[in-house]
Amino acid sequence: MESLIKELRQALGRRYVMERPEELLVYEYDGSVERGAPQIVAVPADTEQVSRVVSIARKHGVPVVPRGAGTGLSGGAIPAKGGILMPLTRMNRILEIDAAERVAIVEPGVVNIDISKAAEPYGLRYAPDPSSQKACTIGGNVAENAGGPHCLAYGVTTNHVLGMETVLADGSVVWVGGRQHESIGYDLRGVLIGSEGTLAVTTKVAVRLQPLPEMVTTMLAIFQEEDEAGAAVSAIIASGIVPAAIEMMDKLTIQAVEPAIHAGYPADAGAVLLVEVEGLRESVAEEAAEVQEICRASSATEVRVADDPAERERLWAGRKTALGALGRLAPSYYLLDGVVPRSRVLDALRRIREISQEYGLPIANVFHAGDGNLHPCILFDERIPDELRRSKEAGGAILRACLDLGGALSGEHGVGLEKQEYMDLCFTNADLDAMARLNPGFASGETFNPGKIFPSGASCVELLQHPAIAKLGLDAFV
Amino acid sequence: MSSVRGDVRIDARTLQEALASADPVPETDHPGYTIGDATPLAAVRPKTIDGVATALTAATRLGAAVVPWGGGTRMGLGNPPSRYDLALDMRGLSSVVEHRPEDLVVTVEAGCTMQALQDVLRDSGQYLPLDPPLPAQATVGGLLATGISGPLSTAVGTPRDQVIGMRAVLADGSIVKNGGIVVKNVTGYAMDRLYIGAMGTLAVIAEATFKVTPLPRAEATVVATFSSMNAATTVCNVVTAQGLPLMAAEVLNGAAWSQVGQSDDGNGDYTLLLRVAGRPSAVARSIDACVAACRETGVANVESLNDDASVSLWKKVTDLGWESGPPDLALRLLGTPAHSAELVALAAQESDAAVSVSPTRGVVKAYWNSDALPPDVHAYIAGLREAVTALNGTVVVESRSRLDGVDAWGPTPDSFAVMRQLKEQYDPHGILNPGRYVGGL
Ligand SMILES: Cc1cc2nc3c(=O)[nH]c(=O)nc-3n(C[C@H](O)[C@H](O)[C@H](O)COP(=O)(O)OP(=O)(O)OC[C@H]3O[C@@H](n4cnc5c(N)ncnc54)[C@H](O)[C@@H]3O)c2cc1C
Ligand SMILES: Cc1cc2nc3c(=O)[nH]c(=O)nc-3n(C[C@H](O)[C@H](O)[C@H](O)COP(=O)(O)OP(=O)(O)OC[C@H]3O[C@@H](n4cnc5c(N)ncnc54)[C@H](O)[C@@H]3O)c2cc1C
Repeated sequence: MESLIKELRQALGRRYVMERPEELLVYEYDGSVERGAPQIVAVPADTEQVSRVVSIARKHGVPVVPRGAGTGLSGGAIPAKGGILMPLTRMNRILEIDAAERVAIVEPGVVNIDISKAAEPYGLRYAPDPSSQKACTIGGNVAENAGGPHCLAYGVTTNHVLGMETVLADGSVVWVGGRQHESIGYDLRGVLIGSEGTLAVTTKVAVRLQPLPEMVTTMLAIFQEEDEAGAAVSAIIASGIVPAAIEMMDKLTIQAVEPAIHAGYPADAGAVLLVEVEGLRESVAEEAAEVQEICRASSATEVRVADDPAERERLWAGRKTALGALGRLAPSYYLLDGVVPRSRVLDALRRIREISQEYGLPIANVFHAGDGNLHPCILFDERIPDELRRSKEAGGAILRACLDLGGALSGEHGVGLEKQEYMDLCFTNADLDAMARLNPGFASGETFNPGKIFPSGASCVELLQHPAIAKLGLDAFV
Repeated sequence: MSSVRGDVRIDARTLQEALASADPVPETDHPGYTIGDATPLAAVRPKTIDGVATALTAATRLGAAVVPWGGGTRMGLGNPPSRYDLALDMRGLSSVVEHRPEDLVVTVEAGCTMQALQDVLRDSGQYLPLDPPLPAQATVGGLLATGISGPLSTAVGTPRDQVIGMRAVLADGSIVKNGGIVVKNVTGYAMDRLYIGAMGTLAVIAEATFKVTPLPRAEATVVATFSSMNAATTVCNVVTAQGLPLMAAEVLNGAAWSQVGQSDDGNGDYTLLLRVAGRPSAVARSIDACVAACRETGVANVESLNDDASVSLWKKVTDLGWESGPPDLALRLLGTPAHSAELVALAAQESDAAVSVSPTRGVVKAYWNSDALPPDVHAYIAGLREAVTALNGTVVVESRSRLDGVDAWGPTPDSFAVMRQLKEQYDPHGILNPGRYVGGL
């Protein structure tokens, strides 16, 4: 241990290697319900230092857990087996914006929204926009294959990352993919995206940028019944319109949000739908009109429309403050991330209501309706004996319900520690074995983020979700 | 008949017997599976995924080398397999398993042709935005195995970007799946990414689920001819920066333009095709914007083709060079968009290649027929590889009917060590398409 620290300090400089318990404390959490302490925190400044940390760790046989902003919601950045936690947050430079090629080359610690900010003067943006985009890093996005409200039309991280520079377990530095749109050989880029930091460390990312839309129109529709909102979503999809975003809040969420921001949601509103269309002026105008018509035909009691930025921001306010508002309803909550075929969203909500009754816990739903990505939020009080256990069980029941409806365990938050014990509900041993072969394929052994994704047989750890939310402020939304 | 592999001797009879339950193809039909001058010892055409598994289990046990077959339209892509005992014809698995129009999702077996799939989707006003050459033959599995895409990927990405779930069979016969029928899914590793574009050297793709797209209500293509490649790419850049609903952009040189059946007035000219799609109002506005951008550079002749005319022009552009079977030489140059013009110049130097380039993607395709071939093809490819490698690009030899000893892929990428390790993991006995891919994978 001592020689390990000494070698790391030689490589990174004294102040970038931490080992005292009080220094390590802040690294025990991410955004999830999980918790676990590293022995050492080592913060590299560049690719070469990453490579040295990895080589030193390998030599000493200790694992390395890469970390971005720690906003992950599945325990990805929690050192399940101790070792070295390696935040990439010092590597936060935007190295290049090539407006003509519409590519940016950035370091992994760059915060998601900063790419779009840097690209804006060129009339460009980076499309994937996780709701945590003011905090989460592109390295973390690549590791989780993050999505966001606007991924309905544009796809998720993997559809926008051309390549990465990576450090492998032997310390070697290789590019997978690159600035080229097409390359030869196996698609290591595609495999590493979403691999949750278990196979390699990302040290640079080449992302595609896209032109900013000429016009954006946001619509907020209020419904008395959840079913009516659900029908509106289906009708919009069926009409051939692909909005940039379709988000939904259920009754409980609305009741939490209204006192917080006074959006003017009626007390008896059953669901609120946010629909955003963007593109050329001509098509946006037509699509917006059609969306409004569909919402009214589905019995919306009110449809608000905005196309200037400030007004649009006001319509989004309720959606964006939902999580913070829910945080006021109960001391703790457990946020899930199931996904179902989009036509089954209403069935899923019905099942979630039943589960809520069965377990005696309120469950709010605020989610990406357009792509069937649910975020049920189980409210509980950990001081009440048994509520913690019941909320975990309710969470399991919801994930099972998603699978029963033809869905999957995670739409965007990843498996990590949170859902690893559920993996064999949806995958056979052969499926999991095929996934497990990637590890020897990348020769990563136990080096990177061990103990994640695959079922371990262990039980879940403490549920504690507040820290991340507090970190992100009350405007955090999912 | 038998084939020898190291000290393993594979006897045709033994192999055929082992495959009796996997829908064997009668011996008289084996010549249909010839690659170069190699005909397999056996061929099967299973009707179920279990049949595929049976065939692969037997092949692994006997050490028989397997070549998965789709429509066979790109059997010449890559190096000829170094061993070839069994043809695994996937066209017995040809059904559209489930189309869920309300979810914009379709699950299809690997042996289904792209045309059959599009026909089903079109009935619901949807399509899969992938338009391979020869769609009546090309299969979903073959398309995914090559992972190559064409002009449309400007707008919608590559075939990988459309896949949300997959079932595949590994060399050892295990049937594996990942993903599902939901459009957003990060449950476990994205294994489909590994099998897509692996040229059938890691797994046999048995079934795929795609997200599909509503058919655009209108489309159009603006056609303008420029005197230099640079002028054409400049216009292309201007147009892409405007956020128009641009589906595809392609520049054809004079030889290519005449080959797609258009007039060829003036060799050395470059014709830019800009394809836009969407609502009629947006398409009309986009045409105006494209035309204006062209005019600004001083070109006089700008034309626009609507709907059917546009569709049929692009069909010719995708089939370019392959209209009547493989061309004598076909090269694919991969670089960055910014290098497009340089790559085109390199490909066309000292020869009369038909060249087509996607300037938004940096992908150049060049075709030669026997009368136009460079005098010393080997030296030409070697020289081109050197120049393109200096730009960090790659030259893939896609067709070379009379060119022995030229590697199809050229230098291996940086990450090749990992690729080789992956091959060892997924196909430890090297029975899947041995030697076909990069660096002998
Ligand atoms: C309020 C809130 C809203 C959210 N909304 C969304 C949303 O809309 N969509 C969505 O997809 N997610 C969302 N998330 C989840 C989270 O923000 C994303 O998963 C994000 O991608 C994590 O980024 P991070 O930098 O915080 O990574 P961390 O949490 O630090 O790490 C996540 C994983 O990435 C790995 N990792 C990090 N950096 C690297 C690297 N450089 N190389 C290799 N591995 C690395 C870690 O080992 C870990 O496994 C939300 C979270 C919160 C708290
Ligand atoms: C718009 C567009 C443009 C394209 N342009 C080109 C181009 O310029 N050049 C080019 O080479 N390709 C191109 N392609 C890809 C080409 O169309 C596909 O390679 C073709 O569809 C192959 O289909 P096939 O069924 O004929 O495959 P085949 O010729 O039968 O097989 C091709 C390869 O894939 C393997 N294979 C076939 N089926 C499977 C399976 N189920 N599982 C695993 N491996 C399998 C075979 O062993 C072989 O190595 C393009 C595709 C698109 C969409």
